[in-house]
Amino acid sequence: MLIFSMSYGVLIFDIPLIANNETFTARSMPTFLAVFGTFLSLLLITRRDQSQQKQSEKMNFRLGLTFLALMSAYGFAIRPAGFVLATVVFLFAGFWLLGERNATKNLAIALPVVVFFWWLMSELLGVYLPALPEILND
Amino acid sequence: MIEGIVTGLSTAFTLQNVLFLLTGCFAGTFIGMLPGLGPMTAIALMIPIASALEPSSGIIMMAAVYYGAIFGGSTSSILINAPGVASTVATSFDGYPMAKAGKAGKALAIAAIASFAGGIIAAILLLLFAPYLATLSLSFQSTDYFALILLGLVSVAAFAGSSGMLKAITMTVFGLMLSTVGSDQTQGLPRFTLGQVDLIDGISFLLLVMATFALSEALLAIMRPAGPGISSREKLTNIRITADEAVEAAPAVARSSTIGFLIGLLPGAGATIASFLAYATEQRFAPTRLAKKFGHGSVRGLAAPEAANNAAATGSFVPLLTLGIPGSGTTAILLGALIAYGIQPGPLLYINNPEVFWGVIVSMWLGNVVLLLLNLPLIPYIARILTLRQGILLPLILFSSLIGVYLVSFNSFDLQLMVLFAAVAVFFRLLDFPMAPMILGFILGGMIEENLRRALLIYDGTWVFLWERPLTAAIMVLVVMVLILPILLQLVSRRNT
Repeated sequence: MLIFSMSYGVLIFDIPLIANNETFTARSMPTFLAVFGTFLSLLLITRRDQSQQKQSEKMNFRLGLTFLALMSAYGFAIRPAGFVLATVVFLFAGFWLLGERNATKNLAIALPVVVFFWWLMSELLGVYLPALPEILND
Repeated sequence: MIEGIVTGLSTAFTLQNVLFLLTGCFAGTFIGMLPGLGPMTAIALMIPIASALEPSSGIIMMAAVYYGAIFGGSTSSILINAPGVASTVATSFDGYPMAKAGKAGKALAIAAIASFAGGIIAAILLLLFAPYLATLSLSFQSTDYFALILLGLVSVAAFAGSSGMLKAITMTVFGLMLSTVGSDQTQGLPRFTLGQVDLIDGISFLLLVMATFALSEALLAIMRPAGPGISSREKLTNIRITADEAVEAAPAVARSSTIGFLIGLLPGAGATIASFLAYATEQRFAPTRLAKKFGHGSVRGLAAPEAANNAAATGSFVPLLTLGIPGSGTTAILLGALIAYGIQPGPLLYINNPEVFWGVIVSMWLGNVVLLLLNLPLIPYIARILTLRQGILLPLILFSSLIGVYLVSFNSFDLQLMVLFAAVAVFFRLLDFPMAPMILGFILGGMIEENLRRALLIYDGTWVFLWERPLTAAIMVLVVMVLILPILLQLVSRRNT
């Protein structure tokens, strides 16, 4: 938080100023927030003696990171691969990573959910959601 | 007024409009229940359908979607701690612990009844006081708004507890910082965009709330070692509320409905501040025995924000219908829909389109009855979502959150930003930092900056408005009290022990 507040403070200088003599400029509130944020961060550091080690349970950080990567990949794939393919693969991989190893069952859940959602959006609500990969749409 | 009610009854009680109301309530509840698809998305999705209808039918349906989605959002807050909207964040404070304790059915029943009561009380207040209250809210100036928003921000101390106050304030500042990303409101100057065109419009609220609540909650569930299911089927079907619980909740519902309605009236304030303030008020004034239960499944703590957010949703229609000022992002979308119909909301709406004005007000009563009749019997079925295997449910939650944000912008950059915020939120939550104050800071950041700028311009750059204007001064006294009271109480209790 301290690093964030200080970086935020440095970036304030990138905000252009139209007139310097104005009472309240685009920099005014960010300046106050940067100073206050830095002060609070320092206060938090000095008061760190309180019981911080609350998370005693063992967390599976590797699985968490894998899911972050999977979500990011889904974000990159949804347009070029199309909604249906990208989402089915995302859900299938998600089920698989969480221990659901029956491929047929995973597909039997993912495919109807995705197709129904696409139908609901595209056909019923009129929201344009390309189902197919980008190269097949042309 | 009698004439208006008759007009409203004749508009709302046509078979066609009752059907649209039912459709709106059901669609709103269903969409609002899905993490990622809150009222804003729900209403936006219904605009293409509503635009094909008569203006009064279309607005009645969209209003029904609005309060349906607020109730639906409460459902996901309670069941999976994933509020689709900020106004149901406070619901999760006690609703989720109740669900975790095997009382999901009961929590949903309390929420349904409190929402119903909040909506009905607010609709009566709306009918009685709409013209007078609209005049009162019009008399609010930017200095009052600044003080009121500050009051909303410092109330974070209420849900932080004694040791977490510093962390809560830090997160509020973090939220305020995030709200400054994008173009400056008055001069349009880019701030903290890092050269990214996608950040020119700022960070989307939906994106941030989904990343910090739904995604981070699902990620934490993924990272935790697998445990037993949250609730058994028998417990989920138990929606019975005991007489003691009803007695405990009833005064909180009455107070919170009034707070919710009054806060909802103020343009820009809305259901979020109302639910947080109602929660904070109940926590403050509860007897010590009951106050201790807050955050651990308190009946009052669940009923208060539920009644308040539904009452505020009703109240927020007053500035929209009578002044043409949207009280929230959701009513801003409704304003756009009204203008698309060729209807200009404002004082003339009474005269030019009485069927729209009174039709919406009367339909709110009917809508709240429909919501209760629809939701209470469906609670056991809705609650069964918890019995789904985590391996199936969690990827579906991730999907619905991601697609909810994608459907608003169709921009994959937003999804990457969401993943980044989810990672940051998981980090903060592991260190026991609360997320709700950050969201509140983010929502109110733009408003507080704009009102402070106006206030300083009016008072020639001096801060005298804080004590010169009586209303502002009174709110500022409340701000100071809210900040100092927890510290004083802590000191007193320390001295006693």
